[in-house]
Amino acid sequence: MRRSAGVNVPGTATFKAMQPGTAPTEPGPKQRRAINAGQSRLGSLHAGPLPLIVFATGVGLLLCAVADAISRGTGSNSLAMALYWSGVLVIALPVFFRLTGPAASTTERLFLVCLFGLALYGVKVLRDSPMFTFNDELIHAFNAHQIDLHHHLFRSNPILEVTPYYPGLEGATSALTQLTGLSVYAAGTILLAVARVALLGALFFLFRRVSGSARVAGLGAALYTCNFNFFFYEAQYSYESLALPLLVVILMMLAEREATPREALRSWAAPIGLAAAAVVVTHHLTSYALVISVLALSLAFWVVKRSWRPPNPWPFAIFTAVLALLWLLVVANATVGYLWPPLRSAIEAIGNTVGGEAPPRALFQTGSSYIPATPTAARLVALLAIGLLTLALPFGLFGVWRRYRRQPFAIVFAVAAAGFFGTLALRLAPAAWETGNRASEFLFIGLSFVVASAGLHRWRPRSSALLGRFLMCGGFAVLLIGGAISGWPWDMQLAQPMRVAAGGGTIVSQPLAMAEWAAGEVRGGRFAAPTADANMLMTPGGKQVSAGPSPDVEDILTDPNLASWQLPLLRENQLRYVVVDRRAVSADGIRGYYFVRNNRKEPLLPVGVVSKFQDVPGAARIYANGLITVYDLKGRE
Amino acid sequence: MKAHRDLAAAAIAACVCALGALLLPVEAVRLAFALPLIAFLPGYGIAAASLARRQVELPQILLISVGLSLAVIALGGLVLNYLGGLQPGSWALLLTVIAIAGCEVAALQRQPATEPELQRGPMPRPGLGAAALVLGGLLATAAALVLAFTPVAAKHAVGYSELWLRPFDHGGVTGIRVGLGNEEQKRTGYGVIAKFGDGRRLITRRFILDPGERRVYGILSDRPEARAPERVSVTLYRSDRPNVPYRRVSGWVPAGGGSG
Repeated sequence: MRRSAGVNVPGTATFKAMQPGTAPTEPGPKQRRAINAGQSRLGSLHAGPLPLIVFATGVGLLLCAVADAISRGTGSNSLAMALYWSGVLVIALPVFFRLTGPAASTTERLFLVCLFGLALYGVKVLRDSPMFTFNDELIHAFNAHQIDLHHHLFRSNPILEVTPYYPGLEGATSALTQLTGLSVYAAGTILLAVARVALLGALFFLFRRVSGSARVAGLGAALYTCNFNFFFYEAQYSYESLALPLLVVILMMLAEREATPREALRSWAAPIGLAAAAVVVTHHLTSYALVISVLALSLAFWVVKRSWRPPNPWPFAIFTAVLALLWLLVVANATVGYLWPPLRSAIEAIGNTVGGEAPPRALFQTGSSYIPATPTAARLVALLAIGLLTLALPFGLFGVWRRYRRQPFAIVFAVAAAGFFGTLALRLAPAAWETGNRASEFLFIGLSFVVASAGLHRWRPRSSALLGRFLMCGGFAVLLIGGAISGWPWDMQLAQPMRVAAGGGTIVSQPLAMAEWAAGEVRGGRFAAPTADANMLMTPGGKQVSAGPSPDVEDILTDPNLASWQLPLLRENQLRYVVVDRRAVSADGIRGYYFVRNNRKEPLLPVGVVSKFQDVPGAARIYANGLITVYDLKGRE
Repeated sequence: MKAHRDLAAAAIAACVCALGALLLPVEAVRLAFALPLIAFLPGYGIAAASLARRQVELPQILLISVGLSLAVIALGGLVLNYLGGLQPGSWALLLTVIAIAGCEVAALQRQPATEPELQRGPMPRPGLGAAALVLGGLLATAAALVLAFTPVAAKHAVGYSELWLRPFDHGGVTGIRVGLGNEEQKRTGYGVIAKFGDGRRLITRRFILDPGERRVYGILSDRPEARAPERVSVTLYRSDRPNVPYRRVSGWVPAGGGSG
């Protein structure tokens, strides 16, 4: 084995397919007898753990699908939730248990983490099929549709102006839609499945290179799935969902480069440079995170080795930074106007909260009367997850210090792990919540490695050889579910009714019906609509829309009186069509797409929000489905 | 490249996948050809070319190939944007050229001694039980997908009906198109009354629609020479409540000859 930076690194270890005992920690005689006994019991069937785990994954996904169907069909939360989380655990626990053990080969561990990541992605896909339903997804799908229609990039997006200037995801999707004829939904879903596999695989190799242990690598990669955004936010059809896997692939390649002989270092330049360029054109924040990560790595390299010479990766940091700056200045200068206001608000909010000028944000607050509160048990699980991470941190940091302190990557991971808890504090300042949330998914990479290094899976007291593994699996389960609860509203974990079977046919929700009508019957023109309706009008409607506070469409659509400034503002912004939705939830980009339900409270806006346009000279009331009405302000022309 | 079987296979596969994706008629089959071309082969060419002199484990090469392929298609759109546009043919050509070029460079750079071995350990021979478990898992996943894509009944979802009106003017022939849709939970009877002007003309239609069914019909203007648009309102009634207007839309019939 080659030595590298004072740590034995299996640089030329061979991946042996499905052979136990290739992990650095060899099973002892007692464990070997247990493994052999297990195999011989199933020997006649030739069944091993992997087929069982694959089977469990399928069953878990089916349970989740049944839970989603119950949620769509009855709105019954308790049974559906119980089934859902059971399904998640059926997927997760066999994987966790196998990864904590010594018997799995390196290849098997790699397969398990990739399967696990893909399965959790499947949970999200099952929830939303057969269309995108997240706010950002509908925006990016609009961009992809525009590219398909016009065969060129950089078309405008009426809601999120900056997105067309980072066309990596939509351009990549067009490769699949153009070559296969698939819909944007199908192509985007498949593309992100590939990216998800790349993410988990790259994490595995990265952690393995740094730790020298396939077991730590598998645990670390599995732990990453416990970050708050893994279930939904990182799985959505949005530019970060492609950029983040590319970032991890780059980190993996940098780690491999570090272990490469000096005369061969240049062989990594092209792959790393290519991937970095792809990140720059795909997502702004991820490209900045990449620059920061590589700079931190360069600094850690200097701290450990006191050298700026290769393989110190600082040239890649400079390359990426220059590329990102060029892109920002030449192509995507709208990014500054997009990113700076929330960042400034976050900084101000932190100052106000720390200074006592503003109260801290209450955890799990809903902010609306129509959103049910997160149950106490769920809150406890989420808080317990944070507690476990906090508890594991010092053990992990100690493990990192003891075994990996000469590894620059390990130093960066340790700093990131500590930084993650700083992002938790940001969640207490109302305007800084989003900043903290977005940063956490990058920093969790480091935290995963650190926690995996804590070594709990090696704890084998005499009373129970498997106690450490069982405890770790239990902890994993809490982290996974607690992370999912923290990262997505409780009431929206499961599928909601958008398409419903009735009387032998299928009926659709009011926003979707309105959007489908607009797609088929309205040529051209721009729409003013509440957020959820606007998103539906973009995808699947394919329409140009305005929503939100700028221009101030949201106040126009919620004010029951027609103030003197409203019509001029609509005309100034060429908003010919006005979509008035009496459902208060229509302003909600997560909840506003579904059927009104008779078993829950659905607050309505006053009738005046609709009737005020009735007497506008020349306006036509062209569409009505009860709660949603569309006016054409130039109906007479 | 002939001496390097993996490179030759990748280059040939790129060509076959490109042709298959472009020419085959069935979407699912085209996907089977397109996916390797999009998600693996270009990255494999680049990885092989870059790392030609390095001994890298096979799973890692595969992973790097996937990652680099994602990078290629993310950047490839930029290239094609300025070279004629993002079209099926241009994508197929770009990805194939990258894959083949990479394999060619790799073939030139590789030393015989450093050609990566396909390091395979003895593969387990799956028994009946293992195969049954894997098949069971795949079937369960397929069942999950089918269930996810299948609308289920939801009695708690509040149904509704929709009504809309769009004027038309086709070369001087004017009128309105009226559409209605039953998004109720049951079959529903409707009456639709279109009123022109102050009631000078009333047109009534009756429909019975099943859930999910929509109906569109046109009403021509009876005043083709009118010089000004005429007001029209359309009211929808449900047969179970015939005296209560259920939906109402309104607009204008365009003036005759297309002038307002």
